[in-house]
Amino acid sequence: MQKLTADQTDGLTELINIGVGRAAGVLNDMTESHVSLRVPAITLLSQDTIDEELGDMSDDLLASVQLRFAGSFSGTAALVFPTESANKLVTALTGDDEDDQDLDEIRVGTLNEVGNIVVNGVMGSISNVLSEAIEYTVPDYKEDVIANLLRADTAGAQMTVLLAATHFTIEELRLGGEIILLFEVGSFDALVAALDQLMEE
Amino acid sequence: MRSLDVLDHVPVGVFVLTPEFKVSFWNKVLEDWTGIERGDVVGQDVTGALPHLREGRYAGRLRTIFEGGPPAVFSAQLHKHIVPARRRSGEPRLQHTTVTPLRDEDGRVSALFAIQDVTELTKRSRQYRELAAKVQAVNVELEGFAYSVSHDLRAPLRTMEGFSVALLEDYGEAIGEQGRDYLGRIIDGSRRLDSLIRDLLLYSRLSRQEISITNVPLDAVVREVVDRLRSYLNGELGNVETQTGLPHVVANRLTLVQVLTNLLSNATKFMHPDREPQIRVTAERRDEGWVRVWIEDNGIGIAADHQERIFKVFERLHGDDEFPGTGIGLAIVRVGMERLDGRVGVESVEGEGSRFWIELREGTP
Repeated sequence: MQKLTADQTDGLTELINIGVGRAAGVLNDMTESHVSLRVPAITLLSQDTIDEELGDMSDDLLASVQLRFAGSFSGTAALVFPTESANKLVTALTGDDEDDQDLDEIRVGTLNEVGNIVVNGVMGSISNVLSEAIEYTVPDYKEDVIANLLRADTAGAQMTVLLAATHFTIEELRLGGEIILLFEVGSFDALVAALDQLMEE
Repeated sequence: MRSLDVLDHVPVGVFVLTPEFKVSFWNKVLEDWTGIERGDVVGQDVTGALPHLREGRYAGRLRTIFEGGPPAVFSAQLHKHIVPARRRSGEPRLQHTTVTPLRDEDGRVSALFAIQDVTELTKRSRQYRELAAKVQAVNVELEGFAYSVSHDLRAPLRTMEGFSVALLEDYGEAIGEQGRDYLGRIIDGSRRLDSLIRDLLLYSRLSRQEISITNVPLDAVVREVVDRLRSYLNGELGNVETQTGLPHVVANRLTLVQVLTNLLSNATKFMHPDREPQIRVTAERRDEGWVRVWIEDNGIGIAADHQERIFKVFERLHGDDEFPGTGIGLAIVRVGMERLDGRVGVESVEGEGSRFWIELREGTP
């Protein structure tokens, strides 16, 4: 698996933070709550180490919004939460005062939009450093354990997995989620090369 | 955009917006929802029909689409609607909208809005939520009731039994044989009622209480159950043969112990008067990751037409004097297996013996 230099790691982390920062701006415009988003660190994984790294949440049911991208730059971008945090997030953003609600269809719709905004923010900043057009699919909501969430997208291909632990702060509420970016062969290298070039300039 | 006419025939509101914020397509569903005819809106600036799309919260995200960025979702809870529209009943149509970039032959990107009416879905979700809240409240009430039953009913029962025993011990001689017989029946009855209440409580607790599911070593659990039963029955368990090397299963340990205890104690209870009791516990791998555990006995067996009802509460096939019991044991097995997302069943020939089975997902050691 490719190792990143400290500068490359910093550059990628900043790139993702620019994306989530923009997403927080959109969420602030849309809701009456003050939202801030921060990614303090990123981790790069190969498929062999992903189970180890995500072992803590391996049995938990997770809520995820996934966006696939294709073309010469291809992979999947996802925002993943434990379902309980996802539920709290929706309650905080919508001002729903009923506690203890299930993630019903309507709340799943809201979560889909929030995930869409965050993932789009990140993909927006990635596509800014790449000079090529990216094709996207419609965002997809799924609930499952982490292995199954990732399996469909990694089957048969050797992917590079970028994990960005994401801190959501909505007023007093603090929640953690993960932005997971799966890159198909060559795509991650293309991103790092584009980033290197940008840093040299 | 003639090719878009097909979207007149989908049950979704669809319109297309150009980067100049002009409407270039408006489908029949939207005509129906809004009363705005296609001819009146196509070619016009969106400000006329949908002025809010010019506001920052929408315009910013739409700009990304016009630049060929990823699709955008506008959900019902955060936006209520993209197209103001009411249903015939007068209530507003709640909408979930997905906006995707639509590229024409010249590479120009427009925004295609696909709008689902989620009013009914929202209503049903709300009804479901209310119902769930009611069920939750009833469950809390039941829990309180179960506690009262256990505490309040069992206390006077113990008094009855305790004083009957005391009476028998201290005044047994004085009340004569018939008196002692009556007292014996009171004591038996109290004990039977006590085990009935205990089983009912177990049944109700098992149906409701939260349980955690993990990998459970079947070998160790079967050994634990057999050892416990053997000591409880003072060694009179008969011949129990257990297969070694049983696999791990996905279960809650305590619930599985309860299920196997009930099945094994049934196997020891319904013995055939003319045979030395033989019990076997074995497991086999079935299709799609299931493990079936067999608990076989050579007891009295169960007639074919009774084999389903024995899993219901209070269904007893024999009188208490013949085979004592509460009639809840197999109902506890059934509800326990339901909670473990497993299955249970029986194969039996009356007079020859029974083969009860449970199925669980195979776990990892």
